[in-house]
Amino acid sequence: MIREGVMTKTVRVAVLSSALALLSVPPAALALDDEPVEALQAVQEVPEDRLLDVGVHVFDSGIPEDEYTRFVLEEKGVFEEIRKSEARWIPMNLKRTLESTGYWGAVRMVPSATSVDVIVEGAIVSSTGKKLEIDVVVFDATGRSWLSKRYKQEADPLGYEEDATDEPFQSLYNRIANDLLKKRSDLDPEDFAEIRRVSELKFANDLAPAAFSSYLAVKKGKYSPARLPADGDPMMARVSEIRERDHMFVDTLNEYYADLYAKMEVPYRGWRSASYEEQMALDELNRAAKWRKILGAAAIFGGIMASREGREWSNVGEVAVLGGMVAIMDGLDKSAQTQMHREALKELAGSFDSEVQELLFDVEGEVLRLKGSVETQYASWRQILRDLFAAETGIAIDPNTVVSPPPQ
Amino acid sequence: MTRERLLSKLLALLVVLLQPLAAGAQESGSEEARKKDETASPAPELTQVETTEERREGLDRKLDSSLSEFDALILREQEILEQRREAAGAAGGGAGAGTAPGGGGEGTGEEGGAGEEGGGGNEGSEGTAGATAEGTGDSPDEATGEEVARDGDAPEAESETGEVSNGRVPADVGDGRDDDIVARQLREAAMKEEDPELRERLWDEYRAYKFGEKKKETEG
Repeated sequence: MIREGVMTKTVRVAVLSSALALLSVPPAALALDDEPVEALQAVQEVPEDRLLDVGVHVFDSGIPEDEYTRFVLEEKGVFEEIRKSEARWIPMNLKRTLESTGYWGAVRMVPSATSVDVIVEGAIVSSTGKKLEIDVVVFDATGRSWLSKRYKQEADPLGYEEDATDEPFQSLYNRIANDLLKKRSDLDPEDFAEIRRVSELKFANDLAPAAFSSYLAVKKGKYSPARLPADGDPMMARVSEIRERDHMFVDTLNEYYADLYAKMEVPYRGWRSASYEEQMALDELNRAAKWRKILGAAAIFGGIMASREGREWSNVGEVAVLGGMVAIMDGLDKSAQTQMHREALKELAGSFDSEVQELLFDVEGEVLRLKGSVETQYASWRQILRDLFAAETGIAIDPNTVVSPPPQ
Repeated sequence: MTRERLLSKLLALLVVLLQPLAAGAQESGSEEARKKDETASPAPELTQVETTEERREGLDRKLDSSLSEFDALILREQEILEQRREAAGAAGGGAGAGTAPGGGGEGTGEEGGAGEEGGGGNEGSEGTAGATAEGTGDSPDEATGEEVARDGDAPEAESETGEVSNGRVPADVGDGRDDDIVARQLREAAMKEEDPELRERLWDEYRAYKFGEKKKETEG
């Protein structure tokens, strides 16, 4: 019984002294979640027949249509124009990363209807200067799924240093590139040929469905070539000519996106860097405030319990209660400071949002204009190919027939 | 009697005189009729073959012409992009480019290794864009340095109106005072182009665009 009492007192003393000691020491900043990852590079030139072209779509910005939700997000510092520009920035970084590995053919940002060997789609879940979280889905022209995964990454603080050249979230792009490479290495040699063939036939089918719809077989959402055009098929030769133009158009489109990338790089880096600082300070304060409130409560509880033990503990108990109250007050004060940082973050985002809006408006205007001109050309080509098919086969085609392009 | 004989002689003379004319008229009439016949009722098999073939050729020509139009459109877009880059470069230079952090330059070497088709211009331009915005950067892109150098090149003897007095402006294109934005960009691109062949193509584009626009205006 006596032994038990001594033990209880010893534990209480330990708890009290630890609590008092911890109250004066803030917790260390949390370590980064992810270690830096390098993108795997091809050590030798990849044979032409193993090069798959990659089309990266503009990402879903993650901003809902609903006005109220948009307002709520703005209150949290998530702004529409910033997200829209990031929906172009992030795929552009991914494109560049994939290109740099040397394992792929042409890597382009493409409009959603374009037929490409491998297609990358994505959506932004969360994006601050400190953390990036995106969903990525990858599939090929045959409909085979390659990847469907959420990627999270904390910014590399070195990326925000004044003379830094690296993207703070480069490791995230490198991880995606490495995952895609892994999937690519699982393909058989005939898979490469089939993906390229299907991609070409899908393009042909979209332009001249009357001539090419029978070349593609679809089973449970998977495409395969049902038959192949003869060597020197004049219709296929015409389609190839048009496909070359399609690549030219997409390349030009990519230059507009590169233009946006270049123009927003400096302000975006500045915003993200400031946002990173604010977010770090905010997280630190949040942790410290929470920590102090918990320990303050523990100290008060311990102090009260100690005072009950008798006179020799009452002084210690009073000190603990007092210390605990001070800690809680300090925690509340820190909560007020976090609110200031939140406001600062929102202000920074609001200011960058206005800045990037103009850039986005300018480039998207050009992109829309170009897409409009090209759409007119495509309509004309579709008509000519339909007439050519009719002239060559004698099979008249109802011009009012609406043929929807096959789903990607 | 004499009178009757005289009249009959006159009639005979008239017949003799009018005969060749009548024959000529008959000949030409039959020719027209033959032509008409040819177009109206030719041999059915021959027409079908010719028409199909002609139609196919005509459609192919139409496709070729549409593809050329598209090539011209892309060429114009390239010029517009070039102008935008130059404008951004000039604005960046004026605002003291180079104070910003580096990065963003695009590599082209690796694309070459990857065998990218038709992407060279694109990647080069990305390098340009990165270089233009940043001034410098630890980029693997060799083109970056080249583009910076090109951006730094001062246009030759630019006058107040932006005209380059280097003798490269053809006499038939006017002074460009009434150019709209597209025409102006084409004109500037042509004036700055070093390659004479490409420069001539740009001037052709300029003429086609400008005089096409003028024609539309007068028609409208």
